[in-house]
Amino acid sequence: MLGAAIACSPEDATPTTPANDAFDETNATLLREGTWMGSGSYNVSGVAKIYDENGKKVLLLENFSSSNGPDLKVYLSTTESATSFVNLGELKSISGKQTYTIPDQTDIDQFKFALIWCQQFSALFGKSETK
Amino acid sequence: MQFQRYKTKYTGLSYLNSSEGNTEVFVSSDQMPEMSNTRQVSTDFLGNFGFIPKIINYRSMKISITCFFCLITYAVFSQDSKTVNYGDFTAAVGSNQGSVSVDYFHLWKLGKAQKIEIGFGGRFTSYFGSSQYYSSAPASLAGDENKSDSLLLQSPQVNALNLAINLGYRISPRFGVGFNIDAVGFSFGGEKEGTYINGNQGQTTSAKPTSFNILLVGNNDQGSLNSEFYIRYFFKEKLAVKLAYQYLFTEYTTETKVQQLPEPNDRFRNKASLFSLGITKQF
Repeated sequence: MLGAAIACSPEDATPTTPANDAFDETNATLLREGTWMGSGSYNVSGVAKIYDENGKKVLLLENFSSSNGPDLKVYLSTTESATSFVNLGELKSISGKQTYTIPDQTDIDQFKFALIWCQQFSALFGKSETK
Repeated sequence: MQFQRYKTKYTGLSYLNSSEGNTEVFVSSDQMPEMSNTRQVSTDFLGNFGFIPKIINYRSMKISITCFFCLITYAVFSQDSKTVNYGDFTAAVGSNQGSVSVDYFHLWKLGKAQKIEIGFGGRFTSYFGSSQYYSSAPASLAGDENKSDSLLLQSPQVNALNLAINLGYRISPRFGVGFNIDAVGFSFGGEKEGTYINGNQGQTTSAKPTSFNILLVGNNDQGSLNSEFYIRYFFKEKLAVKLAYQYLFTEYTTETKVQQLPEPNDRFRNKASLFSLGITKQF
């Protein structure tokens, strides 16, 4: 764990320019929602929302902020760790409004935890249980 | 020209060519690749030996191995043949990985000038790495990137004891060059936690080094096998420093067959390119 914490230092950083993805919430149906919490020494805050937009599921990060680190991914997981997960892609920025497309076959009732995960060093930065 | 292959979350593959300074992207689907959602798949065996002519293929490897054993047989039964023994201690480093190895070779000197040195010996290799990706090992999966999945291990550590073969040439009393490769043996090491990754899906799993090692042709190899291209400089009559390019396979077997498609699989291989420095004692 100590090794992972040192390895996930901000040197190989995720972009810091705040993201501002376009997403019209009025034309989408809110399915699940949760609050981000940091893990260990990492700070992650904001809200995670899962919407249905014209039959496509989307994860929206609002008022989002995260500690920086390398190889940060956005996962949907069945637990608070990445025991079984769907990778939604690299974290676009450590702050700002951002959207991630959820693959069609993903059961969001099963994969209800959103994670910010340092894949390279298997370190959890933050989690949000969506309900 | 060497390509690194990446699998996107779409069905298409994109190929990045970065070896010549240019970056070319070819996409087999009409969607833009999202590199944010990618994973690297190892290039093939010969592709990692960038300096080996492409004309070398698996057929020529078979012929080479056959010739090697013919030469060994000739050397053993030749009354004029002298022998020499070398012992090496070698340390190798690469990207977030490294190895230390100890070997001992018994070689027969061949030719009029007795400059060709050919024989076999034993080698113990200990490999350690950090955040290393392993890809599907069986030949039926490793040959096709669409079938190959990944195992990410945070701290792989494999120990391998193998019978190895060596082919060398003594250029001068001071210099020697050669190639050696592990042939058969066994591996051991602790169980490691890892992440099995299949496209954009994954799960945690645990894995142990594959026990049995054997050198075969192409991707049919199994287990952990070391090989080196080396040059030696004898700074004393029987002491030399060795500089080598080391190509090291390590292999893990997961606790269950985590990969199910296109066929069940529990073997994953890492191919490490390392540069090494060693010291040689001639006996």
